[in-house]
Amino acid sequence: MNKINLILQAHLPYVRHLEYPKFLEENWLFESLNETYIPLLRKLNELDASSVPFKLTICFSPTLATMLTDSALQERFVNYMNERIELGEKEVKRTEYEETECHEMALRYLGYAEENLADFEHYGRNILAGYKELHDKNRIELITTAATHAYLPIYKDYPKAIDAEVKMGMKTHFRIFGENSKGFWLPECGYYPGLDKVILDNGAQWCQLASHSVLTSADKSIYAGYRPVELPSGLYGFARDWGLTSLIWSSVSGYPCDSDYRDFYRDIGYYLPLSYVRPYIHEPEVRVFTGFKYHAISGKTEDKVYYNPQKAAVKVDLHVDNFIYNIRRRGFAIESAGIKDPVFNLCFDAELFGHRWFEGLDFIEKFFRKGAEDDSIQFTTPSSIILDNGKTEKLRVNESSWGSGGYSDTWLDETNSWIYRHIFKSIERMEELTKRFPDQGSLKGRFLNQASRELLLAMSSDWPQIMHDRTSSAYAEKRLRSHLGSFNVVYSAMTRNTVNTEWLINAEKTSEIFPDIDYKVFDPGNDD
Amino acid sequence: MQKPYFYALYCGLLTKRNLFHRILSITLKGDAMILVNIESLSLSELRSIAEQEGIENSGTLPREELISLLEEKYEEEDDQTAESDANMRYMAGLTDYRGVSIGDIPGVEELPESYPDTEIHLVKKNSSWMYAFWSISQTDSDRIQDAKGSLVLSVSIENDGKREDYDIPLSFTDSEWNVGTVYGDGWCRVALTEIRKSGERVALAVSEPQRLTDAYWLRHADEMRYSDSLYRLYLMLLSTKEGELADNPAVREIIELFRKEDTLINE
Repeated sequence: MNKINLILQAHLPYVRHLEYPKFLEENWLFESLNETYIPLLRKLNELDASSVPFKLTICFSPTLATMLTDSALQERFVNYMNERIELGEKEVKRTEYEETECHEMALRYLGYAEENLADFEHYGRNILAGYKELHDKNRIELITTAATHAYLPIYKDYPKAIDAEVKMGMKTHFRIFGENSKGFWLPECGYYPGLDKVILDNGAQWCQLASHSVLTSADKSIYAGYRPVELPSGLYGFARDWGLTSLIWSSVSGYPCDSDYRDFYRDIGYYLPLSYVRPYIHEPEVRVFTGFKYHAISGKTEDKVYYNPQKAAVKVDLHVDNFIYNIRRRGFAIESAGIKDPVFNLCFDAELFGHRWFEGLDFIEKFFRKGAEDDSIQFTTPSSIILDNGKTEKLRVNESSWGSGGYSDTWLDETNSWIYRHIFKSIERMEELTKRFPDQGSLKGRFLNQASRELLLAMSSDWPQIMHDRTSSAYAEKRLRSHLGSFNVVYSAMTRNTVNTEWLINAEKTSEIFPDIDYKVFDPGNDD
Repeated sequence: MQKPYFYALYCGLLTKRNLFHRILSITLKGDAMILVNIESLSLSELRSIAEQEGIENSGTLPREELISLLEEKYEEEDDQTAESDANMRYMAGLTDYRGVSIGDIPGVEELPESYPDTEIHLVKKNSSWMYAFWSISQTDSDRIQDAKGSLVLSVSIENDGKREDYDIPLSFTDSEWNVGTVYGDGWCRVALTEIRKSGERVALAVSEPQRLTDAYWLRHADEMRYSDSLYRLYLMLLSTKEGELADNPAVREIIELFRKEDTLINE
């Protein structure tokens, strides 16, 4: 039997700028909600209602989970959706007379937007409640990750900072979902020897690992990644299957590259007249994605053909069949080599499905439906595999990640290495503050707690990743400087033994995250 | 002795783009690698690289033109590599808004260029390189310079019980360096060391040790010929349907060793 752990990581950096009526990077959240998180929940509910025996593991990062439960952002998402619906209605009318090939898709987009908003309201604007229901039904396993998704190997010389990331990740999960997370998603699959113990000590039982971690480990692996790895502390590791995930993941030959699938980049926000799209883009007249996309990928050409959803649906079927065929073929070869019940760990960014790969959610649904009919496939979660008490192997895994080159190059290159000089210094200063002010309550305690928040937010892996990708670098750099600048405000004031109350109240309002943080989490003498 | 930059290029330890953005790797002692600024390359060295890269008339072109042509060439190569890299994933959640960013963020402040402490850090970058960065306090800097002393980056690598120590001369304005390492069971550590006029060495700051990458199969290549089925399993986990391996130098090295053994058996 081939055991399939499909593990999705839903993560976005903490972006919340209520000081502006609209803020471009907040669209990261709104686009993902509209195109992935809400429709995925709907698909999973439909599968559950059809009694399809699916299992799925989803990590909602603490930053994302916090934003999804933030009433101000929920309100802004409703506004965003109302705009999509208004634009959808305009598009349905427009495509009756021009670009008529797009009419069917315009109707669909309008329908999706209305349905998504209705579902959002159905869950009291907190879709995590819907995911929790599925978790309670044992359909999905909800897990957490590091507090701000810090790339942990780079911080390993600062054990309290690592512990703070893990602890606040676990704590946030408990606060939002009401129970401990059994799994811990390693941000960017970033592992270093010793991290497993920190995670285990904080109450999780398993984490995922980079694909190459097994072959390159310090011990000989005989299960080659097809059974769980027992790390030195006793934490279980599940190595990602590069061969299978690349069938989807690869930006060169993955299924989402098929020319019949919808193109992500061609969006009416960029090509229809400004007078028409102005209300749905950013002021002053900055063209951005609206989500209304009518063209197929059509190969590497400017002359894209119009998207045909029927053709795309045929491709989804073909690709699901091909995926299952590859699993079966692989399973047969592995069992022939003497490994019974191989475990395949398929780890992806959740936002790939629906948001980036429009047909991706249909792919997941059909994969579950067709896989359930296949006698050789069983959908599992890492926790259920651990409970099975099947075979595992002890391995000492080297430092590794799923980034380019398999190590830390992505988060430590010529574009971003400068940030660590400042972040390391801030960690040292935070530790210094916990020693100098060991037991502060009230205002000073709040001031120090705010410093801890700012520091954790600065440690997010997203900022160096964005700098590396050279995409929204200006924003990433501003955010990093803003958090470190805010940290320095506290540090400077506390060295003078003062509190800037007005600043504090404003900062707490700006970053409504980790309400239960205690700055002593950074205290090197604190073993809690 | 082999020209150091050819050694670095040959080993493929740095991407060419990196090389021409900032740094160049050279051999100092044995196989130890250090980095120098591109600007320090002589015209004849630039001409040698250009000739190797097939740039016409490289022997007669001026320095600036050579740098510009080489940059152009390497950027083209980088772009081609990026397009055909099966390891690249979709950056799924963060839409690239085509360089647009709206709005300033309150509280954005200038960060200091350095901090008033003497300290050093070493961070593991990958299995071949570690990144060292440091700061030196104004007091320390003035004191050493007043006393006609100098600064070095002391590198210590212990691998399988064997210890290697060497120095890299530093200027007082240097603040970072990439240090080359090897596979093995051991660690690397760096120190910021003052060399006094008398020759006496004083460690100003010492980094935490960082582990080397210790892979079982790189130590036990002799077992590979008896591990044929295991090799096939590894390949399945780590290669695409087109046969492209997961992007990792240790994986490539191990699989290459397995392939060699496989070929030997079949011969």
